[in-house]
Amino acid sequence: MNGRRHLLQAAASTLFAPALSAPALLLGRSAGARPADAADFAAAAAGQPLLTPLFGVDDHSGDRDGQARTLGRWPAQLRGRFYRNGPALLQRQGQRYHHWFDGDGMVQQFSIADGRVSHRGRLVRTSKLKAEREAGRFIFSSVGTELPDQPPATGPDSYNTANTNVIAHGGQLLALWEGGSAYAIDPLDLSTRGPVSWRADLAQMPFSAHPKVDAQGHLWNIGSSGRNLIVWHINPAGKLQSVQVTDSPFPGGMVHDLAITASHIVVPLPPLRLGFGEPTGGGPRRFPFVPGEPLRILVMHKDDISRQRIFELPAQLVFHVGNAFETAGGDIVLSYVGAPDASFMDQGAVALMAGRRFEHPPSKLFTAELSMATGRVRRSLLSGTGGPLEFPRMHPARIGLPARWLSLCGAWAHQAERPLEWFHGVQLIDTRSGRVLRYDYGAHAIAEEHIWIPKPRASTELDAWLLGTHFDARRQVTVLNLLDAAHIEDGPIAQAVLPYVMPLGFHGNFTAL
Amino acid sequence: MRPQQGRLMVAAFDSALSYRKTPLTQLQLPAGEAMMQFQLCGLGAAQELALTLFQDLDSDGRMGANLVGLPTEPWGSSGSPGMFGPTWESGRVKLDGHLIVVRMSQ
Repeated sequence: MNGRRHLLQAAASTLFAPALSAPALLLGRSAGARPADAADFAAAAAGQPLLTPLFGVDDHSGDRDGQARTLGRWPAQLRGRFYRNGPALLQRQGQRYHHWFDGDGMVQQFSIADGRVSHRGRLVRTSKLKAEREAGRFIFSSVGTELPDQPPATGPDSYNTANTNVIAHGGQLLALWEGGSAYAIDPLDLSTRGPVSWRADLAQMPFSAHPKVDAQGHLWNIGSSGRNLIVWHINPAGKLQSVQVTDSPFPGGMVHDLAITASHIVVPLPPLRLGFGEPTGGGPRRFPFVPGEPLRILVMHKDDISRQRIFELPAQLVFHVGNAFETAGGDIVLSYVGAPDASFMDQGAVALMAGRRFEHPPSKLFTAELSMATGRVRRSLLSGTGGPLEFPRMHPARIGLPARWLSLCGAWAHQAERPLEWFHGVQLIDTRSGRVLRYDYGAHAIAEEHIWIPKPRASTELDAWLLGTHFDARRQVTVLNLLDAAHIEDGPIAQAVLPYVMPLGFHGNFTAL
Repeated sequence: MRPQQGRLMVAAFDSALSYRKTPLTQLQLPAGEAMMQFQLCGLGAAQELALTLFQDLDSDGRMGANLVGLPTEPWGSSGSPGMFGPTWESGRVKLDGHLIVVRMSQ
């Protein structure tokens, strides 16, 4: 209690109070909510070495600095930093989040040069992390976990976890979440600089985790807040080129990823609302499909997002797009990963946090041919390996252009031996033929997103490396893998074995040096 | 509060009907230290009260909001407003001589 005492009398006559009814002050109240229990996960994970990464890290000893043991041949031409992000702080003082998406973000940096690989990992020092570190407990509700006695939040950045993706663009390294600002991170030491406001009136504006950068370096992104859908355009120098706002055709819905074409922004809008702030009664927040609602594909013109077309398909859960491009006739072809129901979001990501196996209908790769002239859409199943697929990535110079290949994580074997239904391999899918080429890291592995790095002076699409991590449960370490895209089935040509295990991550990107 | 930045704006309401429409009384104070304590007069015979506060960091007389209306200045409420803002029901407290404690948003 170090405050001064003020004994002042009411004097003001300006009527400022109604301003507090700013539209975003939603009405939310929770009673009796409680998070999950860390001891329950520890009991489930006992004797299950594959579940170790799901313990996460803590914010006192969570930072990591290490030199990797390298195997194979790391090409001399490959120099740069591979950044990844993911929910890493999953439990605090016995509290454990219900949902995998809840955890605080941690940026990983793999520095690759001269055949050596060093690693650094830092929790993003968000204002949420600082406040909860001081409190010694989780205090802000999150995507899937409602907490009691929540403090007031000024805006989304009060509870921004910066946990979903990380990308260098326009001279900044950005740690990204879905509901609030990008967080600027020091590209070398990974210290947190703070939330990025592109303009004074754009503080606290949602800047989503899946921006798309075209071959010229222009970054396009989306954001959503209630009924508002935001489209960002950041130029190659990292300056705000434009921000546009339109009404969402599905207000309050999950808006996760976008595709770009030469002229358009393409946004899948699955029929699922996040319901952030609504009371859960203490259990995990539920994410059912809204009955009767379709999967919408919203197509907006880049220069004027009020010029739009909405295509409707039978309901599917879509997190990620593969790519989109415009045909000679002006139609758009979109590839995306879709699941027939919301069970991964609703229960799978909760089971993962509980260390419990959960079977859900597998996600598969689809294309949607969107006729801009007629408004009709045709959906085709491109490929399914029998098990789930996710984390689609592609050649970075072909984003928004006709590209042939996508890389994805997949699971197609070993399921009887594993305590969770999760990816164990990486695959390339030919979007023209549906042909699948793949590599299996094994029953003891959890494979993570693999990104593409074009080789120097490359001419063809597959003249590229694939770079990605897997967790090796036998050795209890995280391993960085380099594969030749043209020979994916041969497995890694080089590996870097960390002296420790990192939490499972979501997405990342490479910066060449 | 964020010390020494702008002004603290306080409004007091005494019913659901008047809540965030017609304050019973209101007050502006220069922002002081992180913890401020003050007395609010002119409450008449009110038995219960809901206070809404915001810190007007830029002293423009209104609560800052971004392009889509999300708040950009700290706010607070008596009672238990939760993360996203108060209602009369969540903000109302009895006037019984005890201090009313309001935590400003971060």
